[in-house]
Amino acid sequence: MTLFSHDQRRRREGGFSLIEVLLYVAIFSVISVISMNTLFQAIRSFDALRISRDINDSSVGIMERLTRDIKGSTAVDLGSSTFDISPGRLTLNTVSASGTPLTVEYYVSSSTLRYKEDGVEMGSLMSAKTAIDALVFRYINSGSTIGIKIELHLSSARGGVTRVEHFYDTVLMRGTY
Amino acid sequence: MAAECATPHKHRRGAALIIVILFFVMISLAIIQSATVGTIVELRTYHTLATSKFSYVAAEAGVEDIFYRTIQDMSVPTEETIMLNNASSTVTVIDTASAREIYATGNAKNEIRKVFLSISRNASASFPYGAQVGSGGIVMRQNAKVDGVGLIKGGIYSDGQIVGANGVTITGNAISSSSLVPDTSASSTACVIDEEVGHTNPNIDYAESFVMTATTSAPLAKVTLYLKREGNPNGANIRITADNGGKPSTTALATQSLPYSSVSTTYGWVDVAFATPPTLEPATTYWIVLDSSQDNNKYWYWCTSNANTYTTGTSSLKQDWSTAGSWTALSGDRDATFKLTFGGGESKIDQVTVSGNAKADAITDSTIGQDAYYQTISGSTVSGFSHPGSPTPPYVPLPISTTTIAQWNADATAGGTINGNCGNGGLSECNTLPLSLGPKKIAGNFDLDGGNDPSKVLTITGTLYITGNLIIRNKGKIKCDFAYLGNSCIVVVDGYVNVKGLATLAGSGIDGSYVLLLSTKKGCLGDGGSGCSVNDSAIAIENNVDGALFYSTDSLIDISNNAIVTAVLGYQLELQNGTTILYNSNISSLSLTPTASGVTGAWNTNRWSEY
Repeated sequence: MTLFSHDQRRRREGGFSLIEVLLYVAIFSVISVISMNTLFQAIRSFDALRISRDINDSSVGIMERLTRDIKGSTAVDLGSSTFDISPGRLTLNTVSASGTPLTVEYYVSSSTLRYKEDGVEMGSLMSAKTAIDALVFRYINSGSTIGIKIELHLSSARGGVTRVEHFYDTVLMRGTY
Repeated sequence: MAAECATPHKHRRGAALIIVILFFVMISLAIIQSATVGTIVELRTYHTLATSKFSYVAAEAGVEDIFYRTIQDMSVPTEETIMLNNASSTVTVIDTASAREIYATGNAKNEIRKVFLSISRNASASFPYGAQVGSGGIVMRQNAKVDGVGLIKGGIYSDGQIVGANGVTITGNAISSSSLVPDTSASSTACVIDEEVGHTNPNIDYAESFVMTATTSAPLAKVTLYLKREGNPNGANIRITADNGGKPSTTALATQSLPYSSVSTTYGWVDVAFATPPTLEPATTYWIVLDSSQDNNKYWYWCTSNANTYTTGTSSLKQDWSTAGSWTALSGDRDATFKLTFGGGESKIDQVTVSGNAKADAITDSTIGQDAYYQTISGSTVSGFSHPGSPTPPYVPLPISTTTIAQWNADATAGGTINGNCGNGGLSECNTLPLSLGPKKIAGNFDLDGGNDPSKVLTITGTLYITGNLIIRNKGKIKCDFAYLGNSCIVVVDGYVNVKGLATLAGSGIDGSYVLLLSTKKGCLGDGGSGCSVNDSAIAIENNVDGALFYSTDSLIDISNNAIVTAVLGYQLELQNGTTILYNSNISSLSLTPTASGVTGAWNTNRWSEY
């Protein structure tokens, strides 16, 4: 009975044919899938954007800091530095703003670049969202001029998106010539 | 669907779709807004960064301008402003007693960067190790020590080996490097055609010409050839000869025997290291000669390319290299396979006790207090971490360049020349002590015989350049004039230096002032050589010296007689039984001045910083 009255009501109200319903479901599904896909794509792109921003921020921070310190330093402590392999370690004999001698040490610990001043831990130099895959310092000495080549490989991951970027720079120690 | 059918959906037709799309649009908008804001912030950051670079470059330009004006003897303003690509640089120059200080402020669109440069006529040189040694390496005999005053660590940096013995200790780090560098351009590695060497006449001696790539002269440590052998050929030599009109000269610059045991019966690269490496000059043609003897059954194969693979050189053959006459070029302009390695020194640490880190390719029979960096290790104990597979430590040249030494010699010569010997038995103008001297060139020897009289002192008032030998003995004393204050004075000697018989060397009396005693003597390497001092050295130290820094550019420094010395730098170093280097960190950065008043000499950079 119920079925009959239901049917009757349907017919009275105009109702849907099976084909209409199927068509509606099909269109609804397609549009949902497309919009969801687009949404996920947008989220992924946003993640990629944020990752590249993280990596850029870290690389600019590290490179600016290293170049500035290397340029201003007077000598490299070769005994406490590791060259040509990763993770590298760089210990610079430099001079503080007030003109007193200062030892600055850059090293990698649990995939972040950290530094010490006169043996005192000063913290990390990069965003917590990025990791150092490899950091290599190379020592250049021409007799009259000393330089350091920096090779930095950074990676970052967010929501299933991973990105690796490579940065290179060569800095001459201005205090050596 | 049942729910949808059950509800009156006249007004809700397509609502789910609209909600989904609305939802999507809102999330997308949120993402786009967030991304846009982030990008704009980032753009602004990088724009600021780029502008700040403009500003920095402008500041640097200001500093460089004053430095250039100073070294070119042009007028130097006390203040100036220069414009560079819409950025400005305001420079202030302050002259102090000992230095010229340049402060530059760069300004690009109100992004400010400031650079400071201090220049002076002092040559500041840094001596961060108790002993810094060139490719000749360091040998420490029984109980010899490298230590530091108090808690200071001495340490050794050597471009060659560090060889110890019983009881040898090093407080600080011990680093042994090597200056061996392959010449990657001057080589031919293509092996296509076999050449039989020493089988049939006239194919007995083969030669390949080459020109080194480096622009400074360097010792040729080894040549590497692609060879194999038939039977056990004897009596072959590898020779390096000069070029004589497009063919090898008939006299060899270096000769090394090639035993058949080092060559396999199948092709392989064969290293031939020269016992006495020839020093080759840049832009000059030399020849590698494989000199063999004829034998029907025992001969060599030297592989060649099938084209002109090394365009700078050519290959030729001849029956006997040492006779006059023409050579026959190999057909097709082929090149014989070869590689070259320049430099010297071996990266190894043997039989020493090191309190700090040790770095070398090979560490043997040693005790390392902290970390060890190596490729191979044997018979050693390491208290810290071990780092196998570490690369060879970097090659570090001695800190004073030949240009600087030439400048010092010119500074001394500018003060006049004494033609003859000084000191004991010397010319009347310089044979009576006490004596104040310098800047002065002495074209002769200086025998500083103190006659056991402490008043007999040579006071240096400017750089001394002695072309002969310098002997300080019988309580003889050299010191820098008090006017040097915290700076150090310089004595350059072309011959040998011998310090003995309670001789004394002292700075001006102010902390950080030392006498730099530098010998440019060549060929005194502990095994003969002419005109050398004790143990065939260029600098022989036989009593305690705490006021001098010893520096030998090309030869051996020998410390004996239980002497204690502050710091030494040299091509090669030998510490005899019981001797000590007691490093003082005052010496780590010396300010070397040509005269006591510091108004002559070339300009140098002392310090650069951003502030």
